[in-house]
Amino acid sequence: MTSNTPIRKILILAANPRDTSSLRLDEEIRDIREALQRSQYRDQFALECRTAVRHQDVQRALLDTKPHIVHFSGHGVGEQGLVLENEVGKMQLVSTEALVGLFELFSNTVECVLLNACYSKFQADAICQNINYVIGMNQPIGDRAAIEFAVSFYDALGAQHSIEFAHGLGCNAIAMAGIAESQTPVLLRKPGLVSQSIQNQNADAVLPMKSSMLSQSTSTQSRVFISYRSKEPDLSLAHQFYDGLKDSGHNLFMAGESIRLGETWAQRIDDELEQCDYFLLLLSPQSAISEMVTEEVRRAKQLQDERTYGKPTILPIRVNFPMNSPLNYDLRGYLQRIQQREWKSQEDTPKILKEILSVVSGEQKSETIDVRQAVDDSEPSQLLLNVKNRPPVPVAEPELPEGQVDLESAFYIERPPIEARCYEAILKPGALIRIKAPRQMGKTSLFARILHHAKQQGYLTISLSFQIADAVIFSDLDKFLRWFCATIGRKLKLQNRVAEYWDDIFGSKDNCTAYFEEYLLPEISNSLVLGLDEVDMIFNHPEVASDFLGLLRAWHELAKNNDLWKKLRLVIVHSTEVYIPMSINQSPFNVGLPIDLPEFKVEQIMHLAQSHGLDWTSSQAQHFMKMVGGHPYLVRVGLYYIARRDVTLEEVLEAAPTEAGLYGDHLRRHLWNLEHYPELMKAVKKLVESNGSVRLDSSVQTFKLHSMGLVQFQGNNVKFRYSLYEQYFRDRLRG
Amino acid sequence: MTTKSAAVSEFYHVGGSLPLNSPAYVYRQADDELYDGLKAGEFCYVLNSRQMGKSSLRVQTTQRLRSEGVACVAIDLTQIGSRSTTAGQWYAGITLNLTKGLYLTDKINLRNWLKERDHLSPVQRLSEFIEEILLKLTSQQIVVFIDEIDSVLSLEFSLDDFFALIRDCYNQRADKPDYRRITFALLGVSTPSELIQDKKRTPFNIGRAIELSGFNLFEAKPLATGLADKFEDPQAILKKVLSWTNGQPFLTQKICELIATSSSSSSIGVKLTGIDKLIGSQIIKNWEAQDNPEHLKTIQDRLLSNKEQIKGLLALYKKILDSGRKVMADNSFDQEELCLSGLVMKEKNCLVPQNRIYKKVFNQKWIEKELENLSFHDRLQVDWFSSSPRDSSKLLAGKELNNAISKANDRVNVFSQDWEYLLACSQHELLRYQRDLNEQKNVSKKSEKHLSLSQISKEVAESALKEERQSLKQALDDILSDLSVVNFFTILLTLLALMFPLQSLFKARIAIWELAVFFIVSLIVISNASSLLTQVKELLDKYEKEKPIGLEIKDDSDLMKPLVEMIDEKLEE
Repeated sequence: MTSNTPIRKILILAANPRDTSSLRLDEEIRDIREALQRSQYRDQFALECRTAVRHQDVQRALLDTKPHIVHFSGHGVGEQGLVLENEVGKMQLVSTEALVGLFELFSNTVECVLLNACYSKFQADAICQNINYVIGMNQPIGDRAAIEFAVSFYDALGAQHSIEFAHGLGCNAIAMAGIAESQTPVLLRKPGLVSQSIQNQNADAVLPMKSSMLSQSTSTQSRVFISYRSKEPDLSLAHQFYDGLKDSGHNLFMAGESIRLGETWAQRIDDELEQCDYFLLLLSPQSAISEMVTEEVRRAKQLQDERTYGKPTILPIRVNFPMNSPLNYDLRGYLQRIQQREWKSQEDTPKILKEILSVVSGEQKSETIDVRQAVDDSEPSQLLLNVKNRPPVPVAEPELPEGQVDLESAFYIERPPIEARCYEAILKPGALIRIKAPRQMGKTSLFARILHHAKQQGYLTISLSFQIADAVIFSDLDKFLRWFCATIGRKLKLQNRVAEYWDDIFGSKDNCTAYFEEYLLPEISNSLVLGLDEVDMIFNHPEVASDFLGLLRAWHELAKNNDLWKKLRLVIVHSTEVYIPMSINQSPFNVGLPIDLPEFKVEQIMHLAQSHGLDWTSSQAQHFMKMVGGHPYLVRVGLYYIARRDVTLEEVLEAAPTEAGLYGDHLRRHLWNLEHYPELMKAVKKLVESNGSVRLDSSVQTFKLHSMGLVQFQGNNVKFRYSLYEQYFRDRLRG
Repeated sequence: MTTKSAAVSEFYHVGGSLPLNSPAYVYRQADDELYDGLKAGEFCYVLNSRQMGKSSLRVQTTQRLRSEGVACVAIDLTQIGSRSTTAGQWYAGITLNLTKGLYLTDKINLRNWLKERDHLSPVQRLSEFIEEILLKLTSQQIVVFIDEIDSVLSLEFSLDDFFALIRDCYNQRADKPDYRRITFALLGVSTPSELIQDKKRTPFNIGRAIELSGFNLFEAKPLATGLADKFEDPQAILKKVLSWTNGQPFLTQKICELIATSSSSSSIGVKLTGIDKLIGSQIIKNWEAQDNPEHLKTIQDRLLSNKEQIKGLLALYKKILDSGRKVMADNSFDQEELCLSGLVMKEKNCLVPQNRIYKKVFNQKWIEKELENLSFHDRLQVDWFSSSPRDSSKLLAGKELNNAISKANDRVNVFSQDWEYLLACSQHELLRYQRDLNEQKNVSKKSEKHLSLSQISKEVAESALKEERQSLKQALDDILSDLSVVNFFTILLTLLALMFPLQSLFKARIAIWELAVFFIVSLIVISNASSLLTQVKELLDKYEKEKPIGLEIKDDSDLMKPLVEMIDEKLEE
């Protein structure tokens, strides 16, 4: 059906003459382009852009592209018309009459005209005599609101919604962004036009809305992605679900076996995740510690956040995995707002299957828990299992569970003098500690210990991981700082007064500072240690990162002479250098105590082996280190299974660099991750071919690979960090 | 052991400003200059490279002034502006910080005050705030420090009004004595002309520039205290450190801390060369991985941040590093920018690397590595600039030159160095064309001798030469391309017509052929030359309209004259 739908052409006309104030048109066009590219139906849209348009260009562009939607971005001056450019880039007015005449001529092709310019309602009123839908602004519209509106508008069109819906969503986006201009864009219809879908030329081609967006009574065909472990009982349960769903006419993808076939499983998983409407997750105690599963859920969550229609819906089923047993920190974060079902025995199967069917067919909405009450569920639940018998988890807890510290500590290896220095530093007023190391090097464990230490001194402690925050908040400084303030306030159990303190008179940084200075800090009686984990997440948004880190630096500087700010102490954890080009017009983020976490040394590994009840000689430890170096997580995993007598050291080493080995899960996650960054993949291939150290093309690549823990520096060159990676990637990527 | 090293780590301070009362604070000449200036109510500014101790200087000076009853406010601009901040919000942020800094929050409801003045422009609101609130509600001297001033360069609106307002506060003093109580100090990494161009409104020409240089041995004495526990002669150690850092504050503090906490420090005490090793292994070697807290990377980022400017800076730096010959300070744009990065400094009117560590880190190899990222002709340009005497083999010619010029014509900003280079190339190329033409003329003269029997042929030659001039003239009016084809054919036809009666004379025929070749070759040369000339003319027009960045400071007449003359000459011909 979709292939028959005619392609809709969108023509963007942008004009920002040199003698008018500068608008962020490039950004708007870029964002619109992205919105459409993200859309599921992107093939049905063709985007044409004309910038710096002059009056003769408008005609030409309309003739050349025959657009269905015309989008004008620029300045408007009310009754006098819209502002275009003349030959020398200065402003030239085009009168309303001229525009009306123009669109009258094109009225049989153009369906919708969007005038993203101040006071454009004048023109819109006139143009809609001939054009079905015209959107204009009834007052001045700010850059940000204009962009928010445009992006959501095209998001909605991209998801096959009507123009009315798209307009509503656009207005809502302005409101959501906290801008008081949501009433500004006005939709006008041609007199006598009955409200219709955008597909008015092809009325029967209107796509049904997806079931999760509207609870329709008719049952819908859905795509379901089933993630499971290829062991019993998960395996047969997955097949039962498969059969049940298949019979009801749904499309299914089994992400257990099918992905192991063929070499391109990574691509497969991505495609299927991208397309699926539902992500059925069978969580057993074993899969809950799998890095691959965590990553799958993360990506599903990410897709959900990116899309306005919230696909895919995640349906977690706990398989022999009681609700009260803990998930690892990240999984908990991703799944915290989602209702989970528990499967205990074969008897539960029909009931759960029935429920899944009704959700997937769109008869029942999947339940989500209110965000507000759910956030504090991220507190670690009481760990019922004996720690010693618990396999190491890929993600550490940022907060030490109460009463478990001693047990946890049995496996925590100190790396002097780092711990002592941190403990001491955090006691200083206005302290700032920056911990940096590649992933799974024990950053979060150290972080948890610093926080624990601070807590014992009577400080308030808060940990905040950027990993589990919705990706959207990082796209805009204002959004981000509001989220930051609100979250910290909530964790301090203080009433949310962000709206009250956020005053448009001031910039967002001033508002954020004021929230701390006038509200949060005076409210608390003791010092506050604020731990920020996975800060790397904001590095992908250089604008926000520069400003936020600049703000933290400014606060830290303030604390040197200001008693109130002395209360705030910061611990910041990131896995890589700030590789983004920070604004050169501000001081670098080089304040506070920098901590680089080193790997374990031989003695430390022997010590850890001992805590696992293994009596290793130093040559055994060195043997082990030849494969995995002193990588804390890899070492822990190895020791755990060796101590359980599941495998011997020799067996571990032999199968280590394969997907069947102990580290298969870890390695596959790395490979999958690389698939998403072609330039990093290329760099790794270069490394594979070099047989040693090699210099990469860009330092960003170098830092990214380093932060993933795959490489280590050797002068200006890099080489694989461990033999484990070298052998695995050589095997997978050579030739 | 841990407690001891912790105590030491408290002594020195790496990155960020030094807390008050830090024993490691080093008093410099600038301390007194700034203090005296502000005390006298002068507008002062410390515009300098990063991590030279500006903010620490501010903290100390604040303390000194406060102890004498002067109210001080420090506004850190990174706390106020971001890209999405509007002018209104930015100025409101300044008023907010002034209110907080002078403890006026209880005396005025700023939000309401601002809302009531919604009809005023942002800068007017600030101006009114200063006059009506700040000066009315206080009675003592006020010094406003504005730190991280360069962050205004990232804003989306111009802050000329703000700087003009500062100047206005000084101008008002004559009429309103209250204004004598308020004084401003700006600190940041920038140049006055980068912050505000308008000569009439800039406050910088009525203010006092405070130079901030590295510590000298005498000034740095307090730093030796931190080493006194471990070493017999901490002064000697310090001297050694300064020989590496030349008193650059960040590096000096960092290395002192390294030495003080180094476990093998006792052995360092024995041999001062231990320090060389320490610096070599912990600062210079593999510096990209060891630069934590970052410092060297910031310098690199700054040098490489502006893609169009890289080649200019690299060429200049290469020259400074290369030669035993000195590079005189001429305040050109590139020089200012290079000094601002901190990499080089002025010493006795010459530019030299700031210290030995920079020299080792940002060495020839580093330059070469960065040059590899440049395009072929950018690299040529760098080589040409850094060669002395200038190597004309590094100049662009032919098509490449045409391309480079047309690219420059399309670009919004042209930097003075690009400009200079392109003109030098054009000049060189035009001279070459002229030489070619002369050579051809000589050939034709020879042929004419052979052909002396025929007066007509001479006339033909002359008329052809005339036409050549004609075509050149026209070319400059941008119509050569069409005409040259016509000319070519007319000449060829004339020649053919001539050939018949002279056929019997063998020599003459050869001469005519030679003449024909001369015409053709010179036509090609002329058309090349004239298309280049038109482009250069365009470049000159562009230059007339918008001066290339950084050129204004330099006397450009010597650079322009020969070319302009040459073009005029051609036109006259």
